[in-house]
Amino acid sequence: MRFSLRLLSALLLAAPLFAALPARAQGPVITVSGVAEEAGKHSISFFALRADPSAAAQEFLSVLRNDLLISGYFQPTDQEQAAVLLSGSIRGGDFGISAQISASWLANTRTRAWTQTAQPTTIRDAAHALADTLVREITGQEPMASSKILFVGRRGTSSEIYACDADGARLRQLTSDRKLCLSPNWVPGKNAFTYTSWLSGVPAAYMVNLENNRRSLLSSKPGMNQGTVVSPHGNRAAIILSYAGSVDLYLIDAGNGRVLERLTRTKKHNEASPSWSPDGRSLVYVTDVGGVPRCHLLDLASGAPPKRLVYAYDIRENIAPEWGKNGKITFCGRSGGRYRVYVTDPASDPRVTIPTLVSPNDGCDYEDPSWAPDGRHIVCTRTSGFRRTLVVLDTLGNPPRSLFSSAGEWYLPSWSHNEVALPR
Amino acid sequence: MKALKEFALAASLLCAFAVVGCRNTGTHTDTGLGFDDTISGNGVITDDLLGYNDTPLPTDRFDELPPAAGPADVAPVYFAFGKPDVPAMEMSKVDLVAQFLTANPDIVIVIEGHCDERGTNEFNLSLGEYRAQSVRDALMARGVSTSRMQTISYGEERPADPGHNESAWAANRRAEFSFYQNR
Repeated sequence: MRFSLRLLSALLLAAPLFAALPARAQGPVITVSGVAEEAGKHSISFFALRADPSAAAQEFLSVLRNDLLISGYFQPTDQEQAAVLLSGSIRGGDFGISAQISASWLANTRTRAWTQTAQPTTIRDAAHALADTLVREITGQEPMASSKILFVGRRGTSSEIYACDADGARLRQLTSDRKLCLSPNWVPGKNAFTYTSWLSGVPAAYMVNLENNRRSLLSSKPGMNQGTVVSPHGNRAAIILSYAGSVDLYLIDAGNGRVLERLTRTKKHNEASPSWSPDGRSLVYVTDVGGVPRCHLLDLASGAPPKRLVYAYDIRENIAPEWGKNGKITFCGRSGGRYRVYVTDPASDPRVTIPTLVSPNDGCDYEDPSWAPDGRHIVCTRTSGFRRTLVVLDTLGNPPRSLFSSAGEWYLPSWSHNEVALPR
Repeated sequence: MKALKEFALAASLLCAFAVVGCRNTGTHTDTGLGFDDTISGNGVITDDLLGYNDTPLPTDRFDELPPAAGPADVAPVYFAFGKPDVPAMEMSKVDLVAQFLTANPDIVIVIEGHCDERGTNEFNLSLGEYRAQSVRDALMARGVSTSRMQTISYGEERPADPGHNESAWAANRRAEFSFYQNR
């Protein structure tokens, strides 16, 4: 099962994001009489799926239903008729839940059935897993319900690293450094993340392994140790250091922090925010060589000079890039006096490409975007009235979703791949 | 001449590694990370046209030394929006610190760099560090040895003024000095 999913994912990720929109252009979404469907969404009926009145069963059902809704691919309904029909039963109690669920679609030519059980502490995880399966099986797309989002939370003068589920639930604090924290970044494919902390009094880069909850010091050179991103191959990390006397981009060993290569020596300019290409052979990063902070692409193997990512006339400043597994780069651009979230294809000619605007034009600033593992959604920081919250944007046109609502400031999100687990 | 400079650079970097190597042992516990193939030797991207020597930061933690008093009228250096260079009008504050450090050779300093809240946290962290290093370079030009100065950036994370207006932003774009007694 796992092997075929990976193969399917690999094939799907090869497909251009914007060329074919499988949920819309490719059928078959059979419109059943009496069911109005939003374009691109499969109506999915919960009519024949029974959950007993226990809190556990109801929680499983509501998490599942919400996951399908926020995936963007489904339109849950209680009507009897829909493009996708769910049926079965969910029993719950102190033991957790036990569910037998079937789905049929394409006029009953495709059916699947699942049995799921969960202990009380893993009910939500089980619902997320089933939602992901439904997204994969029915739409052929990558899901996101089981993934997690890391971010910085500030209440008062100190900031810490927090996490939540992809649906915004289970907000939890991961660090108690009691100083300042910044820039959490998931390690690709691992249950681990890097971040910057002032817990020792100076900013140092740390690696946190969520498998055993151990934090190790990765880089603590004089000056900056910032923006650490481990490569997809896992052996090296890109990082901003300044110990040599200017702020520059370096490669270090992801195991022991040893400097491997200095990529820039720009005494009169700054670098920031590196992000790896999915194949680990290139970086996108920000530098203000040229006078204004802009994203640049750097092919590490070729030794060629870095290339600008964006030439669009109205996006003067472009920062905070993240290179998604879908091959596209999302970044924050300053345009019309506001910070906005865009997506662009680094393989296209930047002199003729106009990046796609993803954030709404509502007078708020949108910054620090990060790709969901579904290659479709983007989490970012939204600043409204100088308060920062986290918002999920949809590159396929659904309205933005507020991730959660909780007192404090929330910013610098990093969205994980699907196979992570947070400590309970 | 260039070869000599490159040799000096390599030597100074080697010394930096030798000292920092002792401090920099992160023991990574996850043994699952594989190792990649060869690291390419690229040309380093540089904006430097004439060739310059790196001026490494000293590696001991100055903020772990006993705090010391600075000059009586020491004041933060303020910066223009988005700019890392010390404005001409602010240079007298640098002169004051330079004179104090020259007169008190056993005092070392940490220079803190800060930004206002506009722009992303990450680029502001780099900009704050650049501001601190600009002040350091100005002190170097006034005869203060690099071994007596360290920098730290807080980006936009530690505003002096929590307001959200021009005057608050101007008050936050700053470099501050902390003084310590060198043993």
